[in-house]
Amino acid sequence: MDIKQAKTIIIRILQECKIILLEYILTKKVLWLALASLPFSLYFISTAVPNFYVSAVILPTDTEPQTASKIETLASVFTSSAKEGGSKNAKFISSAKSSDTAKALWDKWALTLFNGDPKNKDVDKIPQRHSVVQRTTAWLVGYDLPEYLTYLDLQSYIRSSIRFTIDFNAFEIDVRTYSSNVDLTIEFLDDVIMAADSVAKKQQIIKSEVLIKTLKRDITNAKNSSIIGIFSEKINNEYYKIATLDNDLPYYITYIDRPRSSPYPISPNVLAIIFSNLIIFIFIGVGINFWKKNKDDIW
Amino acid sequence: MVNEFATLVNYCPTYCVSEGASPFYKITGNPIIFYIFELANFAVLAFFVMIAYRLKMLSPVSMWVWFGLCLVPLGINYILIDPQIFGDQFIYFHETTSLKTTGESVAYLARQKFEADGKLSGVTFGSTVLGLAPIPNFMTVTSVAFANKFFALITFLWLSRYVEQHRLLFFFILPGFIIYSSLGLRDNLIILTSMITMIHLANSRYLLGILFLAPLLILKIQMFLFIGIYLVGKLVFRAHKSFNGMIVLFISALAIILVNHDLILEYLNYFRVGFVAENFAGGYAGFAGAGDASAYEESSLLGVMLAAIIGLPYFLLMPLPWEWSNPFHIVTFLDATLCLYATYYIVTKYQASKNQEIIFLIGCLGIGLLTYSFLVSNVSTFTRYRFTLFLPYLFCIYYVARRDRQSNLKLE
Repeated sequence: MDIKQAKTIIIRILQECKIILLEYILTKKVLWLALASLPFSLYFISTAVPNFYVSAVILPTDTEPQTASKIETLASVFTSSAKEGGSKNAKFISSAKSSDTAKALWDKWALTLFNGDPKNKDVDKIPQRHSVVQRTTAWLVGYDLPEYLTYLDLQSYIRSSIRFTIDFNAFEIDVRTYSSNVDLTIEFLDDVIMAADSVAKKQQIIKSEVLIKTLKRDITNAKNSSIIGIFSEKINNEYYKIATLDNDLPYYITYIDRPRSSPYPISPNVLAIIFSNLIIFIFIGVGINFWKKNKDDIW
Repeated sequence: MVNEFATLVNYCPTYCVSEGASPFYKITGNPIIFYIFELANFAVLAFFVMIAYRLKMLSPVSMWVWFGLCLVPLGINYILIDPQIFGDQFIYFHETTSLKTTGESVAYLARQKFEADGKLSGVTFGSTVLGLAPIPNFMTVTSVAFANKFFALITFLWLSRYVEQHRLLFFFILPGFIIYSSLGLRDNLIILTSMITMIHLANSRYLLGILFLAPLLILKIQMFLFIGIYLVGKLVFRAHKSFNGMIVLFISALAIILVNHDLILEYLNYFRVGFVAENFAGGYAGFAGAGDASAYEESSLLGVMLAAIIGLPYFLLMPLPWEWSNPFHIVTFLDATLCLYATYYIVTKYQASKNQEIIFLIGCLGIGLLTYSFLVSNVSTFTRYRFTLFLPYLFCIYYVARRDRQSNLKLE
């Protein structure tokens, strides 16, 4: 293809584009349809529920209870501080998504989140909705559907609606969700974070208590003085750990930014709705014009 | 318009979060908004089809077929299948929207990139290309599918310079191609890039061929290697003209393989075990705990060859009817049989059984298929790989066979 050919082709394309623009797009019909798209857009925008972005930033605390010897602790400062932060984050996130956390939050949040019946005040009597298909299948196959919601439903909700993202160095955790009810969501997010920390602490305390019980049992049978010494040190460490954990201070995490909402809603995207409707309506007009002018050739 | 909160806000035709009945669930608003966003994308693609028709780049039949093809993405995700079946779509969607809004990769991919010393991944490259499609919205996972459709249309228009449209349509309405070009994955880009590369190579336009081959190094390294054999064979050994040249190429390749015997064996075993582990209960972690890698490893290249040859008939036709468990299995089986029959039909119709370039192309395709047949473990993944390899080669075989037959007829 030489330059002359290319020039001819470009000129032809431009001429065709001009024809398309004048015959198909810049017509009264298309302009009217473009205007008609506005009421549709307004309808969708006005019926949409604005949703706000709610987020919090947390950091694993550097107050891990002392359980190892001084030399081990010193070595860990140089070798594994990042790894420890990452491990704490993973433990915290697992805890937040666990059924224990959901169980801890169930009494306070069940009615607020799931109850559709204002007369019902019992968290264990919140009816579970089932689709027609689910009900029909259950009837046909012959099994019972769960009648009431449980804390496991709250766990599913936490898992599906709250996002936890750990940054590159496995330190900060970005906790995000979005909702139309900003105040409620801020409070809920705060509760989830604190409950997750508390549950993780409780698990750690239980672990330490079991360890103390086992060590105490074994220390009575031990005859070697060096083993008795090591066991005693471990028991002391675990007691110290329990003392460190059995309080209201955060164990796994501390807040950098407390839960807060975005000043503007993140959905619906008003511009995208207006723009998309405009395109669809213009396309309808162009399509009608295209059909009218080409129906003999294309059919 | 780009969904800058793509990882959080997921517009879909039904309420995306299905469990429970919380007031928080009213998150995506009216489900019709999904259709508004995606119909706008369809409208723009349909507009391109109209322009192409007006410019006489599309025949009336092709125009109607393309209107239909442009509508398909609307009916695949959420309607025909749950997009989670091809869960990678969300990764491409998140990456495309993140690149378009912030210029940086989405957090979880940025982390992988950071850990890989900043190496450009196929996902990031694929998403960058998909983000270049001139569609108005990247609001939902289906938008990426529309971006794929745009590139399929452009490639169709370009390929129609070489093959008549009504014949070309056969390749674009293969069930497999309709599905992969209607999902938000990079397989469509791989197929299209491979087709363009092979047409350039078939026409001995090596520089252009290399230019289009290069992206495959990032998009799909296997395809880069399998098409690379065709390039090197044609350019260096003249294997498309001389049978001896082809033999010299294969002997040279064999010599290189034998010299690097241990390395290649380790590499092949590594990937074979990797694919098995990916498919294992519990994934890689599950395989690390309960899997036995030695059961899948071959100790010699002869063993690799034997395993590949024995497994080839199954690989070519899988999933077999007694393995079907969803409609996709039927479609992929149909694709496999159609592609195999089409190869046979092309070779017999255009009397290409003695055409050296066709023999060489089938040889290159055979190497690719044998490699996959050795690695095969997961049916869904490998039917995708098989189609991605087969279609560009089938198209090139058709193009070369027809071109050579026509020139022979002219000479006669």
